[in-house]
Amino acid sequence: MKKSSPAESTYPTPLLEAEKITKRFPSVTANQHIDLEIKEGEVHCLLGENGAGKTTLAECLFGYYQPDQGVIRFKGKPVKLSSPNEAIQLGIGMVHQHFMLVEPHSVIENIILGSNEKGLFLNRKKAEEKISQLCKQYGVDLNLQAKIWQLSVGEQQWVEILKALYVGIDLLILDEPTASLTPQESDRLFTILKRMKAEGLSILFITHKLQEVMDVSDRVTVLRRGQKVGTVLTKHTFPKELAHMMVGREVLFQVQKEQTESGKALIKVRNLEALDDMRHLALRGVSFTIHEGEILGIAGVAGNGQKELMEVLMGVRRAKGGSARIKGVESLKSSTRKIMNKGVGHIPSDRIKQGLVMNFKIYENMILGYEWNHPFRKGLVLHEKAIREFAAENIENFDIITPSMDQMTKNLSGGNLQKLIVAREFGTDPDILLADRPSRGLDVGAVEYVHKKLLEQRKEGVGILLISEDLDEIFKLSDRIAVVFDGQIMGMYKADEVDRETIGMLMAGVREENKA
Amino acid sequence: MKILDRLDLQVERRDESHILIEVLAVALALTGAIVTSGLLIKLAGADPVEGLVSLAKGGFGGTDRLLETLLRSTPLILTGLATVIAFRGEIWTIGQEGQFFAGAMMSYWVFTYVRDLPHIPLLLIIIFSGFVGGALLALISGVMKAYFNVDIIISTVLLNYIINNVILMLLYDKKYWMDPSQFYPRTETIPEVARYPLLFSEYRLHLGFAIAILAALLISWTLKKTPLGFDIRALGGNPTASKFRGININSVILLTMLISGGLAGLAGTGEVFGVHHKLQMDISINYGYTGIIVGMLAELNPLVTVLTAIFFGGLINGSVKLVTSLGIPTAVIYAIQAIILIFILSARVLARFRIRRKDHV
Amino acid sequence: MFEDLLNATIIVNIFSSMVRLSTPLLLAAVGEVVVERSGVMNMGVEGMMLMGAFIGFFVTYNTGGLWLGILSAVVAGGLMACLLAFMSITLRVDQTVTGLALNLFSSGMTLFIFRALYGDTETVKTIETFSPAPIPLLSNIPYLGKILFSQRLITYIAFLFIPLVAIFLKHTKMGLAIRSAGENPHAVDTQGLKVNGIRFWAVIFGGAMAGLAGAFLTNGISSRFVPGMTGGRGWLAIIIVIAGNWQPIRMLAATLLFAFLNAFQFTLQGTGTDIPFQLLLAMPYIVALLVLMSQRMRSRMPASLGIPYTKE
Repeated sequence: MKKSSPAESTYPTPLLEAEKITKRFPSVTANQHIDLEIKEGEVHCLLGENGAGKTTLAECLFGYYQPDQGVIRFKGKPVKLSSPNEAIQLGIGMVHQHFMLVEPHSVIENIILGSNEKGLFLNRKKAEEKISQLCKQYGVDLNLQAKIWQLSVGEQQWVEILKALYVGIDLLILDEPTASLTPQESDRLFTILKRMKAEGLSILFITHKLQEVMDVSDRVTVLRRGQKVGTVLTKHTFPKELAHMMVGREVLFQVQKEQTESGKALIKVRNLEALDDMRHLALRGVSFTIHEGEILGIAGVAGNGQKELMEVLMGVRRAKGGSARIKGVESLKSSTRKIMNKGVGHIPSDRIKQGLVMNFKIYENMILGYEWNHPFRKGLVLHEKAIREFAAENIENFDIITPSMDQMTKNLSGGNLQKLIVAREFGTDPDILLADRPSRGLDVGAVEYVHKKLLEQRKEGVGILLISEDLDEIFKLSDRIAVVFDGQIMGMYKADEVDRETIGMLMAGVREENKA
Repeated sequence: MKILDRLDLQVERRDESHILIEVLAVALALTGAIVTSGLLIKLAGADPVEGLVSLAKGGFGGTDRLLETLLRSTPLILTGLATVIAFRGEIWTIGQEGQFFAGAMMSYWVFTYVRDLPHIPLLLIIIFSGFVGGALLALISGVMKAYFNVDIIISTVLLNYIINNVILMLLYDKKYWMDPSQFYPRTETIPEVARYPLLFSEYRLHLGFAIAILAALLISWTLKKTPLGFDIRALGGNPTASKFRGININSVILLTMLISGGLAGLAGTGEVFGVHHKLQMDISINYGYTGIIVGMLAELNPLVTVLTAIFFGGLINGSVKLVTSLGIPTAVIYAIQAIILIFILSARVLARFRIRRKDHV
Repeated sequence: MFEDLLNATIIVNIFSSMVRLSTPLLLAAVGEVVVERSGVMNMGVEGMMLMGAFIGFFVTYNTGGLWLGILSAVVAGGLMACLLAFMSITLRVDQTVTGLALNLFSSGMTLFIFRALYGDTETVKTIETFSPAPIPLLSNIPYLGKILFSQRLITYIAFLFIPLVAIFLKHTKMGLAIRSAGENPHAVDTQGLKVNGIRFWAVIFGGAMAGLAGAFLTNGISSRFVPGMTGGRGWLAIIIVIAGNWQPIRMLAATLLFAFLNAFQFTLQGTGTDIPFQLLLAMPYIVALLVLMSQRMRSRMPASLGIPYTKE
């Protein structure tokens, strides 16, 4: 049943056919009458912006969601996938964007979870043999006894792929697989995918990155706002055409950044050290300075200390050593409130978890963190009039789409939630802004908006620390670029004096000196 | 759900529900609870309808009974409010019962030192000490959570048991508080000068009720209109975001526990100095734990808590009538309370499910 | 006072009591750790134990069958757990609130039914209890024989459950599924397993064990039912799980500590000390608080504990 050698098509029909797939959620129709066809042994990309419906469609093919309408045919036979289990049984596997791994468990335990082997007890030895074999087959070296939290992101992804290979699949779905990988790890992934294709596997590769589509795929299907725009042969198309299909209008690939004078130092971080939640050293002596009117972009794959850096600067995590001076005053021991009151704004990486109380009304979230400050507080009481005025002004200035400020925050869409956060921070006129992946999960329009606002603030003299995994964003916005790897700053450059390749290598831990 | 498939329907779950459906759900739940209670009464050997009528009459039949119900609801309002203010911050304190006694104990203890003061200053000190007693006990749990990460549920429950033993020790020993002239574990009778004044001369309703109503208004105001209330609600809604937005979580926990414990403590003081005029073990018939139910059924709304407290006060009084006229154990009331709670909790959530036509291909 | 205690007989008695008193704690804690490892917080252990105690007594009193009583208690605990599972997993009512509601329900119902049936009579209703089942040969070992091998059958079973559950969790497929559901339910779902189904069974197991623990109190030790007789043991079970860092073997140590205090405190009362007996009764609770305060590391707490699983 499962592939063992490269073959020409053994079925007259494509490996997978999906017709008129429709999936509705309470707030949005994610997929509307989408047709998709995947051939045997092809790498098929699913391209679209954030919110286009790619992941939803994939989850329908994987049985995690059940489409409200539509038919799926696998190997010529119509199938009803009511659970991932059924999909896996048929030979469809999926690797998600956010890994579905159990961190404290070992690689083996993650792979054999839910396996259909007979018997009550786990047979770790047998599993280990089979998994080792698979690793050898694809040229990957991995310690199978390691616990997931000990592995790098690239290694964790390989475990996810192993889960699918272990049970044997014909179609592998990958959802934004390079989102958290360094350029080098991405290359390694593509090599593995090529090997899989040679073995006769089909791959459905979901992405929003045009370059990947061009590099890796045979065909590409473009989705926009829940509908299919079209399917083209990759060798017959080019990035500009794909971008046009994705967005429906001409997309400017370049953006003008004005030259500004950067002024005095606002934040001085020296030899900062901090532990992570597992008591390991996450920051190992980080130093940098941010001046008025400049954007310092810190590039790096998530998990190299960025989270801890943000938390220390915001006063949410205690530092182990070093110093951080905000406007000349040592602030490592300051409370978050004190730091906020010094004029430091924060755009969190997880806007819902770290930035908003979803049960609050919009105008309440607009002052979250500022409720003890004048003019929002008058004596012992909240000054409702002032709060509502502030909220109204922000809603208008930042174009937040809502019927009223009394709406519950949870009714806002992702883009509007981010506008709320941006409005809240910018509306209080900060002097310093800590922006942690500010455009994560937003569609192209919202991303452009956030970038525009950041550049505006920069023009007004705000000093901005921008943490991002997206090199496009880093290069677009930053005056200076630093790379963080394993808790250390690997290099600090002026943005126009460095290229992406160098940054990519630094992100992977390759120091300049070692290049020779 | 194969039946639904066959009927061509599907089930959806939503985050909120229409207000009408919620009311319907609560009404259905109450009906279910009443029926079940009727069954319990039957089990106890009496006629269910007679029993239920007795229950209603005992609680609300006539001015006398009504005012007795208000009296009974006084400690419930306070322990309910204690629950509300903490649960709004998702601070799950089960310590109302212990803090009730802590307040009673503290106010009695202080009274023994200032018993010679005139009426008004004496009362003020007694009331204040009651609040302080409950607040201090609650503060212990707050500190344990803030600095030692001990779950509030667990520490408050344990402290309930500990305080229970402490008061037993104090009441059973003539060396301590036991009235030397009695054989029963209780303190001396509290003199007129230290008692809560009555609100109406012919009825037992006392100052405590006014304090309770005032407290309800204060707590409602605090939650809606003050920065502290804002912080408590933010903590309950999203503790992580609260932390990142500069809210000092430890301070909020400590302050909330203080207020919650103080309210429960006031309830205890009221029973000692307003109703029984002595300190003994049965000044509480589970008022602390019932307060939790009262608060939860009010959906953690301070003003509605007054209503649910009065409802439960009526139930308790009604159950006394059940005992005297039908010979059913008073304990039935605990069973009924719990049944109501479970029914209403489930009903509210069920109200959020919707059944609609299946989509077709 | 303390010199009286250094008597060998008394020491053996204390330890023998310790083993005996560990039984309900072990049973309930072992059930609770499985529940919590699957990701559900069962605050209703106390109530399930109490219901088990009452049902065990009630059935035995009316049928004369000790084991029938035990079985009924197990079923009763399981049924209450079904209710908890349904409300908190299916309906997604807050787990804490559900557990507390069940506690109130249990204490109310047991009090009411007990009073309704037996409240107004003069005589105390009692039942025969299990007699100790000494293990041949082993029970003749000096000192240890009396302490470890002359206990009741249920006690041996309780101690056996510790390694059994440890092995179950670590080495069986179901055990891996349960552990994974508690850490990352999404991972379990994508591997094709049903998270809620797993949690349901775990919760029922926990409830059944709590019921069994309660029945031991009546059918094993005290021979009668007193309303509220569980006296916080259900809460101690929850504390034992925390103190043992969610690992069965460590939980054993915490259990023995509490049981020892309980046993010790009885004996101390008997020696006529000046310490008021109520404070002695409070000792296990005070120590429980101290244990919780001193334990900084909750390193093995299941990551998804208390969080209901939703697909999105």
